[in-house]
Amino acid sequence: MRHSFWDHFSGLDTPVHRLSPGVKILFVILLVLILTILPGDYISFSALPLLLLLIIILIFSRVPVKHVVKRTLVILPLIIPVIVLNSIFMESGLSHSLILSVRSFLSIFSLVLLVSVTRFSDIMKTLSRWHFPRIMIMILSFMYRYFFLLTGEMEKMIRAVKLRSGGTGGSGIFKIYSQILAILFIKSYERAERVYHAMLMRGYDGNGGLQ
Amino acid sequence: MTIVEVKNISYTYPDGIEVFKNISFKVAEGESLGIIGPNGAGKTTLLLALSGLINNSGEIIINGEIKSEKNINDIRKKISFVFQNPDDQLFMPHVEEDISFGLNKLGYSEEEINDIVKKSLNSAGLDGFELRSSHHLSLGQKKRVCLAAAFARSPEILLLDEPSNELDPGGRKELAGLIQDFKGTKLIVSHDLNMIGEICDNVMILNNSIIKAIGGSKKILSDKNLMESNSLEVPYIYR
Ligand SMILES: Nc1ncnc2c1ncn2[C@@H]1O[C@H](COP(=O)(O)OP(=O)(O)OP(=O)(O)O)[C@@H](O)[C@H]1O
Ligand SMILES: [Mg+2]
Repeated sequence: MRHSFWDHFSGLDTPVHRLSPGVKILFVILLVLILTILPGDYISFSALPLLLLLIIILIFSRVPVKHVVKRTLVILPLIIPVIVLNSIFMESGLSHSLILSVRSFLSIFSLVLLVSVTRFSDIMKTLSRWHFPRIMIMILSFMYRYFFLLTGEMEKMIRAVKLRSGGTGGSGIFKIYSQILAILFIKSYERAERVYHAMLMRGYDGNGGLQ
Repeated sequence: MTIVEVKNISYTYPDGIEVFKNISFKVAEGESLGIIGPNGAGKTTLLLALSGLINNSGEIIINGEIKSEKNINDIRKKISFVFQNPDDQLFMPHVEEDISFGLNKLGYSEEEINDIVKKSLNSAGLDGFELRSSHHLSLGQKKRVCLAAAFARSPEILLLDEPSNELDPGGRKELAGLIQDFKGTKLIVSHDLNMIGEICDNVMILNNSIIKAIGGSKKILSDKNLMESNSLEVPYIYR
C-alpha cells in the first residue's frame, strides 16, 4: 500500500533530531503564537527571515525541503476557503488575505517540520508530561494512527473505481465518488466500534481513563 | 476444572440475524478448544459474547463467576482477545505504546511494564520492535505484535480470532508455535484446520445457529461426513 509517510524522516539521527522534544515543541508553539498575533505590517518584513530560519533548521535536520513543502501544500487547500471568503468580505481584502496566507503557510510549515524531526510518540510523551489532557493526547494518537489507514483505504477504493471505469472519468464520476465517501464513512464507523472493543478488552473505561 | 461454562446462550443482532440459539458447552482449564464453521457461522460473535462485548441471553460463567455488567471488568482482566483484523487492535502509534496500553491498571509499575514489553516482544519473535510504527509493519508482524500484546497481560484465557489468516506458510508455522507455547486456556477460531488439528485438544463445529459437534480434535476433524455436511473439509493431516 502506498501512503504519504508524514513522519518518514522522524527517525533520523541528526543534531536537530537529538534536541529535546520539549524544546522543539515550545519553539513551534512560540512561532505559531508570534505568527498569529504579530500585526500584518510586521509579518511582511519578518516572514522572510522566519522562513530562512526554518530552512536552516531543515538543512541541519537533513529532511528534504521537498518533503516538508509538499506536505505543507497538501494542508493549505483546507485554509483556502477561509482566505477567499476573507478577501471577499473584508476591506483591504487582498493584502490582508496575502498576509493570512503567509501566516498559515509558515505555521503549517513549522508543524510539518516538527513532526519530521521528532518522533510522534516523543511529542505525545512530552505533552503528557506537561499535563496535557489525557483525552486530547489519546485523540491525537488515534488521529495519527488511523490517518494512514483511512487514506490507504481511500486510495484503494479510488484505484478500484479507476480500474473498473477504464481509467477515464466520464459522467457519473461524482456520484461514484460521493458513494465512496459514504462507504468510507460507514467503514470508519464500524471500525471505530471494533477498535473500541479492543480498547475495552485492555481496560479502557470509555471516559479517557483506564479501568 | 471448568474455567468457561456457557449455558443456553442465544444472540440475535439488532437487524434480526440470529447468530446462535441455546448453545451450551464447557472448557476445562488449560484446554485448547478449536472453534470452526463456515463463514458467517457466528464464531467471531461467540468470542464477543464471552468477552462481554455483546449482550447475549443465557449464562456465561468464567472462573466460577457469572458474567454480568458488574464483574465484566474483572473478568476482562483475565482474558486476552486477539482480533481478526490487527488494524482494529493496534490502535496506538507505536508498538511499545500498544503493548503497554492498560498494563498500569493491572497493577504493574513503570519498570515492570518496560520489562514486560521486552519479554512479550521477545516471546513473539519481535526483539527490538519497541519503537516501530504500527502502520509500517507487515501483516505478519502486526499479527505477532497483537499476540505479544495479548501475552503481555498474562491472561488465564486467550481468545484468538483467525490468528493465521493471510500468513505465508512460514509465518503460519511460527505463529502456531507461539500459540502452542502459551500454557493457559485457549479458544481458537480458525479456518486453518491443519493448525487447529496441530494445536487443539478439542474442536467444536458451529453452524446454522447451533453446535453441530464437539469433541476430540482427531475424532471430529477426520469425520469426513460430518465435516462435509458443514461445508468443511478434512484437513490434510488427517487424510
Ligand atoms: N455488527 C453486525 N451487525 C449485524 N449482523 C452482523 C454483525 N456482525 C456479524 N453479523 C452477522 O452475524 C453472523 C455471524 O457473523 P460472525 O462474524 O460471527 O461470523 P464468523 O463465523 O466469524 O464468520 P467468518 O468466518 O467469516 O469470520 C453473520 O451472518 C453476519 O452477517
Ligand atoms: Mg469471524
